[in-house]
This record gives sequence, structure tokens and C-alpha cells, in this order.
Amino acid sequence: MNTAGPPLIEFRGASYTYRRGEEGEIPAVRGVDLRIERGEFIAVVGSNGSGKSTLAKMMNALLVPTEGEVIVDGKSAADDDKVWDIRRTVGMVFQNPDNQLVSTTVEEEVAFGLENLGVPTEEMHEAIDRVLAEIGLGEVRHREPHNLSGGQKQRVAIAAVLAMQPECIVMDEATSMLDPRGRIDVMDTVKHLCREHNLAVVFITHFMEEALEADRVVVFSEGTIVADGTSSSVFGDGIDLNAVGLDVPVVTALARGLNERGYAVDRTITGLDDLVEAVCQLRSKT
Amino acid sequence: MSIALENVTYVYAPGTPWEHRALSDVSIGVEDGDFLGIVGPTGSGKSTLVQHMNGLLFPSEGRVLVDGVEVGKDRKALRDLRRKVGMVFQYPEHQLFEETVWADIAFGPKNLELDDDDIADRVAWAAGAVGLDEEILERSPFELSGGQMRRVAIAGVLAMKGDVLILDEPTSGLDPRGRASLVGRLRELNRAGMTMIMVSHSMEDMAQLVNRIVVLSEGAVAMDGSKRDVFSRLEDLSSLSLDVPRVTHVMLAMRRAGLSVPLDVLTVDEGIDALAQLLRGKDSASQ
Repeated sequence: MNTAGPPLIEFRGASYTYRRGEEGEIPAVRGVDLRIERGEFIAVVGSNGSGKSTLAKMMNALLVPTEGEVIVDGKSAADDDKVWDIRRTVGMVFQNPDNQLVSTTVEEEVAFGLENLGVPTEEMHEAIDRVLAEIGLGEVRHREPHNLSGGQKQRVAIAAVLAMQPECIVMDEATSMLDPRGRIDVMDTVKHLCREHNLAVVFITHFMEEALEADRVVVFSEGTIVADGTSSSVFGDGIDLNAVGLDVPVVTALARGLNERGYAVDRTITGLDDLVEAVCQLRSKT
Repeated sequence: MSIALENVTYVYAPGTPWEHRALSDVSIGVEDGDFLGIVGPTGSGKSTLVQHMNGLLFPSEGRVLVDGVEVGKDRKALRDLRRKVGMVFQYPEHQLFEETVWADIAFGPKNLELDDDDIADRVAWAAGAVGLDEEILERSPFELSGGQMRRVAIAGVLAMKGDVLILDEPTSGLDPRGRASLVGRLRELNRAGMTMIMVSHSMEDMAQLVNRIVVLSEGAVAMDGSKRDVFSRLEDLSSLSLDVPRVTHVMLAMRRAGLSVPLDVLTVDEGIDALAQLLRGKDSASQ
């Protein structure tokens, strides 16, 4: 992670209000300040209706703030001339894989965005080969995306974003419709991209076990950030997650339960190995 | 109401290049008042299986018995069957279409040609059973949160007052609060006597709700037993790319570290009890 230069994405008092100025206006995001650095793996958790999807769409200028500013790689989302640059820099993968795939083969799906950019054919083929190999989709390149498993479909969507050589990929509940195998495949893929390619990942989820995989966890509730830190600081005692409609991870719930029964177990444990070690230590004390 | 599948085989598109055997010689019994969970990898035949239970599909071989009577293609009998055995499909909120929540829940009962008072009673009961506030009934279903929309769709099936409810991935996409609330409501419906069958990838749902689990693999029954029995067969499950509840994983890790904890631990509370017992046991042994 490089924190020396300016952040990749910066929210400066940014708000988004649906139907602004009309009857029944909905302030979905309210005065958010947030910095996302290059190469950072950040999880955003929040209940349904907390505004986290709106926040995600503000990261690549799908929504332009109604107040405040969002700056992506030095460019303001409010600047119409920069919208396409911003969308190349920050790619999005959405919840429902069936709603975002448009082509008849995996290869074409990956080519789609490149063709729109007018990338020369030769260069395009190289990019497709590289990206499909990277995501492990080489074997299914001629298949119809429609016939793939849910996890594979989402990896095709990731490959299509990756072909645009973005700096950041935003996953907007992109695992919520997948089976457990598919969830693991997608998570492994984005972790790999983050580590090996210094790609920033914003992972929006309400599976707490997935959020634990991130370097940093942001808790979103009623349009504002209510916690922001490492997973152990956020899932420890920092905030009442139940009050914002979320659960603590199971490992943390066990640690808390034992602590409340008088055993000397740290309430902020989030890692399975740490919990096992804590129990082993207590057990060996005489 | 009991349901039994006897040696059911189902073949899609027989005699064509697309022929596909989705179920092979499946025998399963569901007792009256039971809560059965069906798990299996994607493509293992779960949806095909449950669609046999209310006559949406008919076996290519074998038979399906509901309360001891074989399901046939007689139209009147089928209509009665589908009233008694309600089916909530995956993402049922995509099928909401009426202008108000009330009208959406009332749609089914209206087709039963009940009188207005009966319909109103059923809507009120079904909305209450899934925990929807009365003030929501006059709103548009499309203004609701994902969790609320899901409950409206389930209420619409409940309002048919069937004896059996089949649910395909009922908690998928819901946040933890919405999920916990729906799980609580489903448990209450089962306790009140409704026979329930749930297809889900969520082992946490299985741990909290069902009594019995059938595991399908490539169209055949791979396991059939109490949920504790099934979840204790970790290796068999993982060979099918299936998971166990998170707490069961924790217990397994404790075992690997040499701690003697039980593996049939399915909920956080049971996990705390098991670990506390382990630590207490040490205290008493050393004194």
C-alpha cells in the first residue's frame, strides 16, 4: 500500500440525495469524508438500505455528489469531461451476474469494453489472453457466460473490468447471490489482484466473515460512516454492530461469550487461530 | 401433511441431444410438521426435487405421494395440491407486481373466490406471520427494503393457507438483521404445525431451522439424516464442496489443536457452552 501520494479516491463532505428538492427526497449518503489509497483492500459493511450501494456508485461517477466532492485519481466526478477516465480507473462489479453480462462468449464479454475504447485488434487479443489467464478463465473462453456457474460469471465480470486496466475494482455485494464455492472463488480472485497487482479493492458485503479478509473495514449506517479501522478494532468493542443491523463474526462472538463468562479471552479476537491459541493457553494453565 | 418421493427419476428433454438426468432413483419422506433442509452443490437437482412436491414436475420414473395419495395429472387434484403445498421461489420479490403490499398478498386468496372478509383476515394473518407492520400494507411493495419485499412475497404464499411451505434460498441477499428476523418467523410457523422444506446454501440457516437434512449430489441422495449427523460428516461434505456452519469449523480447528471438544456444535451459544465446559473441566481436573 502506498500512502505517500494523494489518495486514489477521496470523498470530501460528499452527499447524495435521491429526488433532491422534491417531495419524499431520500438523503442516502450524508457528508462522507473517506480516503481510499492505491492497493488498499477495504470492506464496506452495512445493512440493507444503509446507503452503501449509493456510496459505491459515487466511487466511479455513476452518481455525482449532490453536495461536496468526490475526487478520483485527481479528477472530480462532477467534471463531465472526466467521467470516462474515472470509470476506467474505477471498475464496478454488481450483485446479479445475469444482469451485467451482455455477450455470447466469455471472450467477447472481455473484449466489449476494449472495443468501445477503440483498442486495436492485436492489442485487444493480447489483453484478452492476459486477463483470462490471470483470472483462470482460459478454459471457458469460448463458452456462453449464461451457462457458467455464478462464481464463474462474476469472475467474467471481474475479467471484463480488469481488461480496462483499472486502479480500483468496486464489488457491490457481488458475492451475495453466489453459493459458498463461488464466494470463495471470487474472494480469492480479488485478493490475488490486490496483492499481485496493487489493485485497490472496495468489497461491499454483509457477510462479516468476508469483511475479515480486508485490511480495513468501514461500517456504514444511515448514510454515514460509523466505524473505520482494522477488522479487530471494528469487530472488537468499537461499535455495537447489532444496533446497525449487523452481526459480529462468529469467532469474535465466541470470544466475547467466553469473556462474559469470566474467562480471560480477549473480546476483540477476529482470527480463528488466535481464538484456538487463547483457548489452548487457558487450558494449559494450572 | 406428509410427502414421500419413491424411487423418483427425472429426465429433462428425453430423446433429444439435451437429454439430462436431473434426479436418479430418489426416495425421501417428509413427515407432517417436519422441517427438512435440502442442500447440494449448484446443479445437484435441488430445485428439480422440490418441484415434484407440488406437481410442477412429474417423475419420469417412480412416484410422489402426498398424504398417501399419488400425485397425478388430474387438473382439479393438482389445483388442490398447489393450494396445500405452497412454493416460494428464489428471489420471489421479483414477482411482486401490485400497487400496494395489501393487494399483492391478497392476490392468491382473491383467486380462491373467497369473500372480502375472509380475504382481509388472511392478508392480516399472513402479514403478521412474517412480521410486516400494518402501516406497510398500503405502501407500494417497490418502496420497501429487500428484506421487507422478501417477506411480502412469502406472505402472499402463506395467505393461501396451505399445509406445507417450500422455500428456495429464503434468506439469500438479506442482511444479518433481515435474515435473523425471517429465520425467527419461519421457525414460529413450523412450531405452529406447518410442514416446511427449505433449499439453501446457507449452513447457518440449516443449523438454526431444520431438523433433518438431505444432501443431493448429481441427482442422487448422498446423505439423509439429522442435522447433527450430517454436519459431523465434514469430510464427506467438503468432498461435495459443501460447507458446515462457521461454529462447526471453529470446533474442528480446536480438535486439530488437540482439544477434546464435540463436533456436533451448530450455533454460537452451543459453541460458548462447549468451550466453557472444556475450560471448566480442566479446572476441576486440576483441583
